[in-house]
Amino acid sequence: MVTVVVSDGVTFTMEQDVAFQCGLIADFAGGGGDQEEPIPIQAVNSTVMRKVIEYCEHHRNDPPQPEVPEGTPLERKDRRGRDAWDKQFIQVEQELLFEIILAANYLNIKPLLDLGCSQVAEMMKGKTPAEIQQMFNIVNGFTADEEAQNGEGEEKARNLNS
Amino acid sequence: MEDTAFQQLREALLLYDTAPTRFTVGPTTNRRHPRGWIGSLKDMHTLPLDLLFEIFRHLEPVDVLSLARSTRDYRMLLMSKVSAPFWFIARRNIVGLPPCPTFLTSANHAKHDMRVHDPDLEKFLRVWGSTDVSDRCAFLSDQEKLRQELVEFADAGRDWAANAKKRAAAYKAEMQQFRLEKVIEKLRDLGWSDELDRMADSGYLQLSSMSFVGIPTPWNESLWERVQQRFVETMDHAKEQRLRHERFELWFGRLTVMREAVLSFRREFGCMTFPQFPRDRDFAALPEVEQIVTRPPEASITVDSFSHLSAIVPDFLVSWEQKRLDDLEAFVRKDMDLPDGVRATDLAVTQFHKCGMCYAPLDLRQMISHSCGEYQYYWEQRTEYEEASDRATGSCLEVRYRQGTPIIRKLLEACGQDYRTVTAHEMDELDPMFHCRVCDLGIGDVENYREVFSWRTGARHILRNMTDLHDHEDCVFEALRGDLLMSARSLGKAAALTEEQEMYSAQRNWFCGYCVRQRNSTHKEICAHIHAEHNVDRPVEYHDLFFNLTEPIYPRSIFFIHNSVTFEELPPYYQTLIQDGQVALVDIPDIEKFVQAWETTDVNSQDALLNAQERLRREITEFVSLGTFESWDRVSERAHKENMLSARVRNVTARLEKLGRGDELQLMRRSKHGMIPPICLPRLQIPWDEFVWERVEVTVTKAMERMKEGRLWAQRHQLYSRRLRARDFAALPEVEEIVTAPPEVVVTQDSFSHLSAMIPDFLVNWRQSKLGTLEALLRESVDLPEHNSGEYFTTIATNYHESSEEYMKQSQI
Repeated sequence: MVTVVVSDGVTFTMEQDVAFQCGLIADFAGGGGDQEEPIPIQAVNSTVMRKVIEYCEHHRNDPPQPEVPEGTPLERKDRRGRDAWDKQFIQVEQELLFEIILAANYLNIKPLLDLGCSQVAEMMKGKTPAEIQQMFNIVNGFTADEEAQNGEGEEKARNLNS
Repeated sequence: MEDTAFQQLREALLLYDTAPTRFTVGPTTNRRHPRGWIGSLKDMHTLPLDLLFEIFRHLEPVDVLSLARSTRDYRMLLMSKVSAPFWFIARRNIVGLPPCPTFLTSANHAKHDMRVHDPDLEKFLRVWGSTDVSDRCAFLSDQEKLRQELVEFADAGRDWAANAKKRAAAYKAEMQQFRLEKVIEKLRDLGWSDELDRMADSGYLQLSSMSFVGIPTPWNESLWERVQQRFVETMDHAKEQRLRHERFELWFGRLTVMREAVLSFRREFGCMTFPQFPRDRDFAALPEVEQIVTRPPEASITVDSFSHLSAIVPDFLVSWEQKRLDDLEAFVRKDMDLPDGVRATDLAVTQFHKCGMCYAPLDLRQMISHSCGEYQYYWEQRTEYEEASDRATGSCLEVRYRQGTPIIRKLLEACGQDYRTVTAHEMDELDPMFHCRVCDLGIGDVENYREVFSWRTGARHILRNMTDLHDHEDCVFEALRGDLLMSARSLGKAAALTEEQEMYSAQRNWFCGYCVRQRNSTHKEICAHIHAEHNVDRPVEYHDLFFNLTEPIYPRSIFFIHNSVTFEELPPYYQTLIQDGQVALVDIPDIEKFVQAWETTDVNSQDALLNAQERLRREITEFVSLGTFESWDRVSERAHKENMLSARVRNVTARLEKLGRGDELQLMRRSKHGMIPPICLPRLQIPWDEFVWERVEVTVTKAMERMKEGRLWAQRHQLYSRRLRARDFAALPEVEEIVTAPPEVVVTQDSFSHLSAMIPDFLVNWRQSKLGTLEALLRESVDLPEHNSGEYFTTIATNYHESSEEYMKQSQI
């Protein structure tokens, strides 16, 4: 069993095969047996840690993922990597999503990091700049010249003329 | 060198025309309503840069472009040269996307927009003008390479787009199949396994056509929970449809059994008057029958299940016939102002109508059970049982008839009767006879064919031939009077003597007792049908096949045929005769003479006279029966046309001879084309009388003139072509004089021998004139100096002449 203490003082105990999916914990444990002393993880709070453990427990029996060669198109990676449970799992609030990404990065859980990043990317896919601005909740900060350079102005003008 | 450069410049400029415009794949960006929650990514900028790059790795080029255009920071980040790897990774995320060519930026490549490379023509020309002549070739070579690259990139882009489309379609089909399987699994969990097993044969069509299954996205549990009720309703509906179909099949089978029971009722109660017997559909509408048919599925229904209904059949027959007659009464009273107390169906004027579907003339009795109604279905079913009844038995209630009343009215008025009061019985007593003025045929001035009708056959005739000619405001019938009327009646009686004897074999009023739809056939045909279809070796009359007594037997038509019509000329008339029965009595040599002979002879001689007519009739009948109907009809039609044509030729020839054109006609007959057919062919079906001749006389005369001119021209052409050989010599006035000598002058080779003296001068003049023509022709298109004239072309012509002679010699060798 491996025990960790997160930033808000909550202690989590998990089995080794669950815990060792986190590269950081595996490094702390040094690949040995049970770790009696809790491992401090200050960059992650208990809410996020629960989600991380949930993910690791679900994937504890997964066969080791073959290394996806660099340059494999997303379409193929996506079909193989993201099953329905993962999609359901990552449907969380924006704040939690970014915290999961940060935690996955910190804890060195590559599949979870990919899942979170691809979820954010998925939200941006197919959106127009205006829509992305809305998602970022910002107003258009471009000058007229920049707008023209963006081509949006040209596009609008073309639409108006047609 | 200059030419090559010019050519390259041309090709380079072609680039402006041949550059492909745009191939667009992916989402459109012109949306009025933005998608995505407001502020759903507002914290993204808080992520460290390395995590942002992780996110960017999952984007496609067009998404990177959109991101770069969303904020100034991202623009600075993504549009800088250091971000080139992101664009590269983004491009790699799209399967098979052609690499970014050198002439496009990553952003433009992401837009899939080739128009960004629209070359600036002014810039091109400016560069061209400022470039040294020696460098222009290199410049053009660069342009050409660019053009090649552009075209290759566009081709690769098109291929990629096509492949992407295929992949998307395959992915969509895969996702839809996955969703369908998932839906089936969920529905099985909800207890629909039995119904789903029944739907498997149809490929779950009801489910796969639903929009939720068609969405090409991965399974979403929460969405399923929202649409689950819709699927349950679909399954309910499918189950209901299936049960309905099973009921329909069950009832359909039972109603088929019922039809056999009705057939036995028909034999028991009303075979002799079959068409007046209620139809299967009428029986199916009986509540007692419905109660039997709609019993639970486990009940066994056989013919015996309906046998107890025979007790109610007599009453049903009475009420059914009364209802049909009431319907008919209402139908014939429509649009007629009849006095009260008069039964409309008794009147003569209401006896004949026309089927609105097959246009057959029908009398009132036939209308009750006319076969057009048997195969009609009610498409607006009211109940399930009625739907099954209509499908199983057909309906007989929806035929619409066209009233024959307005036409019959004219017929009655022609013989001085008041159509509002005269009944059919009274008309039968009066027995007037008519002939149809439209259909009387004649050859030349003589009317030698006249069909005579009774009032019933006349009504049938006009309803059958309801053409513009017959449907005239004046009645086309003329009542026979005096001696003609008497002789027509006598002939009708003579014809009736043989009708009864031939009724069974010749009349097409027999019908099959097993399948009542086989009807209106002869005795022989029905026997063959029963033997073949129902395995009865020796069909028995009134047990296996029945004669339809209610089908009215019309008196056969009587024909007055003039004695100038020979036997060979008769076949064309048979087409008409066959349609109205067969020939009853033909060859009335001369009506007046016949009537005179008939009246002056005693009864024995009258019999002898009738016997003679009867012999002739049989002779003609045998002649008719030589061929089948089909072959006979074709032969008859051709014979009719030929006969009409020969009659018309005779008519026209006689008239032209009277006009003094006999000699011309003789000459025309000798020519291979003949002369009369082209004039006589139009409107062959109409016999020519004086009126027609007056109208066409001018045309025929003009045609004669034209044909005469044509004949003379052909003669001259034949003669001159024999005399002429060389075209240039033919233009000589001396030659023309010899050639155009009158036909009686014999022209031989010697006739031209004296012309040899003038040949040398002619050759010189001929050559000079040809050269002049050639020069004039060339000067039209080429601007030549004045002094460069005749001699030059003379030399050319001479050289050409010599070289052609040389060529001829070589080719001969």
